[in-house]
Amino acid sequence: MNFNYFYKYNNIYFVFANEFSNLPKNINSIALFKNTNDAQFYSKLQNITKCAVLSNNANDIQFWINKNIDYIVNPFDFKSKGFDKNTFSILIQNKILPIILLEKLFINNKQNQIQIFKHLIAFVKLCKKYKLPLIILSNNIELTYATYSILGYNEKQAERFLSNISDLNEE
Amino acid sequence: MKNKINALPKSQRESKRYFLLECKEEELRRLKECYSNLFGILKIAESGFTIKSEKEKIVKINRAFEKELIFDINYCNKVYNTNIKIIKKSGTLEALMG
Repeated sequence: MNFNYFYKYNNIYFVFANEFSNLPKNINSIALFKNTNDAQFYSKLQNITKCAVLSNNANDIQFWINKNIDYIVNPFDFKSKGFDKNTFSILIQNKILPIILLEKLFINNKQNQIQIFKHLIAFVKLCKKYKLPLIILSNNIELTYATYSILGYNEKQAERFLSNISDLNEE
Repeated sequence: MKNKINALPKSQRESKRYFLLECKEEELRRLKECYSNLFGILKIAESGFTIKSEKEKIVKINRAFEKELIFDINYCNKVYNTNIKIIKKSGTLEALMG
């Protein structure tokens, strides 16, 4: 298919908001908002697709989670300090689920990689504390379940979390 | 009083998994190095990660650490552009080669 996308999971396409107009109709999609400039696309997209924020910038993340979006994607930033409890309570209040796109988390920089994993571990701790489902996606189901297991979730929990994204298919 | 270290149950600790991989010899060493970076020196000792045969591309690991190895292989392939594939896994070396 002839359009740009950031990531594909099964038949769900993660597409940046500014590239959304090129998307054929009847495609399962999640629109990705990077920064406050993307707000111009929001009013149109919020009614036709699921929306998510994908950013390394704390201010942009803050801006988007205060809107009625559905997901926060790979919320790890090696430049800042990571999530605080206030930000997390907004996620819970606004029913925003975190999605980890595993392949996008593996980067070619050892030092930064360690930071990202540290943030992931801290984030998972908060998810467990506040009972927020964590959706981990990869294009290898064995890797997905292995990651859940390493992070301390059992298979049943993993299945339940993943059902949050398969529901999207059925809509 | 002695400090007791919480170890895995004996049955789990001693149950092994053998992985037959498809890759280059140097990629096997890279995989082990990656495992150590990801999970730490202590965990690599506990996991029993052993390159059983460089020539045959066989890795042995304690069963309880199988998931870590799967994560390690995927991570290594993405970050270091290796192309390591799992051909077969088994509880015994004989069954793996059979």
